[in-house]
Amino acid sequence: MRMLEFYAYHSPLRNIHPIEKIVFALIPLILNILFQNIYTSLFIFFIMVVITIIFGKIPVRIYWKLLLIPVTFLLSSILVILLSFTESPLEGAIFQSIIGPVVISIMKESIEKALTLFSVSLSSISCLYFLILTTTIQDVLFGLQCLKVPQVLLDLIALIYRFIFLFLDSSRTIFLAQKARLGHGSSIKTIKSIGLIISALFVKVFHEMKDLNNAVNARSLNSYMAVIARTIPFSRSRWIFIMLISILIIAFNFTVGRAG
Amino acid sequence: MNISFKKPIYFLALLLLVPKPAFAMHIMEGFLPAEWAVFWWLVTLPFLIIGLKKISNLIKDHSETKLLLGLSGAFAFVLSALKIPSVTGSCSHPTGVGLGTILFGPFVMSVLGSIVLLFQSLLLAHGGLTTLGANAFSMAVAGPFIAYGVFKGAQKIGLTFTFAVFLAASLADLGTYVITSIQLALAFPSEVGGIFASFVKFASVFAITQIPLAIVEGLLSVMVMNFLVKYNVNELKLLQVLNKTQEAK
Repeated sequence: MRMLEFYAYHSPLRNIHPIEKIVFALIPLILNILFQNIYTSLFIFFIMVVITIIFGKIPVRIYWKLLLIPVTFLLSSILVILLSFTESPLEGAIFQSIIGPVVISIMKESIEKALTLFSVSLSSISCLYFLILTTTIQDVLFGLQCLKVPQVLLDLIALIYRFIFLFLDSSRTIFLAQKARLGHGSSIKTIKSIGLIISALFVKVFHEMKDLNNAVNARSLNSYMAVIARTIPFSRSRWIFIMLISILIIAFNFTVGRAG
Repeated sequence: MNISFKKPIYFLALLLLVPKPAFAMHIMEGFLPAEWAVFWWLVTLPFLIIGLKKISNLIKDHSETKLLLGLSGAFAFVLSALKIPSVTGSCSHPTGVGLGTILFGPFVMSVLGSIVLLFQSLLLAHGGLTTLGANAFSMAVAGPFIAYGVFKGAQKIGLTFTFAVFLAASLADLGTYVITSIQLALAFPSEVGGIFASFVKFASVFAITQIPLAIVEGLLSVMVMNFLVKYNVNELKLLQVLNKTQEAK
């Protein structure tokens, strides 16, 4: 989590208008899901990875590691789609294995479906990674503000974001203190220890609220506006670049993608 | 043993043999076909709009509640980030919606839960933006409403507070995964046996980690509620005040 944040804050693309980055991540993402084509997805994956690594200056090793997290999830969910369980052997199955009364088989259609799903998911993740590795949450919020998302929602998101780290740090401190005092020894003890952490955090929630409320009142503000607006110019050349990439993807889909 | 029970059990056994059966608890980015992604967004939106309206009404009267809600959201995120040891060692984690619903009410929890999911996709790359609608429906809409219904129902039939909390939290957790399995089964009906066969497959995968986890989450919520009742009566009273104004709206 901190790693994603670290790269977002240090990204050379940080000072590009967040809407440009959101659009650049969302258009390929949506096209990808609409087309459901293996070749197009691989093409989008290639574009996003190259742009994230070269322009976003993300080390290849780090990107690879980040990519491995969803891949393990993806493989197990794809297994579910790949395998069919029946009581009698199926016709047209490519692979079949009989274990006791159950026949496990892989159909040709399932392979196609699983492969498509794998490539579509992987390239969607590369689009998401482009956004989160180059854009900080504050900038995403600023972008959403430009898109006229209700202020209440934005303030809530910003507040939650602000306090997540505070609570994560506190819970880590309490966790260490508990470990030092032989907490988390067995499963039952772990549950008890985690229960204590949560209730301690709950108390902290209220103390923080009181402090913050006092701070806001001391400045005689009526409400707490959490989103900070930035002045970042739009760039025409970047919009043209985004448009070109989108056209390229669509063209690829209807030529190479369909032919393949 | 009935033959229909054997299939999921064999499937379970197979999955246990697969190294690291780490199944993402949320539907990941790009996993849903476009029509289903849009469908679940549309289903979830009304709940979010109602929740937001309730929240803005609340804030108008008591401005400090915005801070409390923000803090509660962070609390929910951290809850869902605390990993609990589960049987398979996968990265399953509690949803935390049961506890949140009992403290803050179902509509407020819908909004907070959706924000937590947004952060899980933006900060942890867990879940996704296009699948946020589907994930929000299972975890932030269905979960809290199940918890709320169960909690109120259990209290009405005279179960103890402790047992009501346990049931609400564990059934909300379990319900979230049942709904996720249904969502996946609807989007990916099995080649053989259609939607139901697919549902059995997805639900079996979840069952490995989720049934023990639901029980653990229930126990945990009870423990937290007991600590809170014992040591933080004032804070709980404040929340009760919040709940009353919410209901009055």
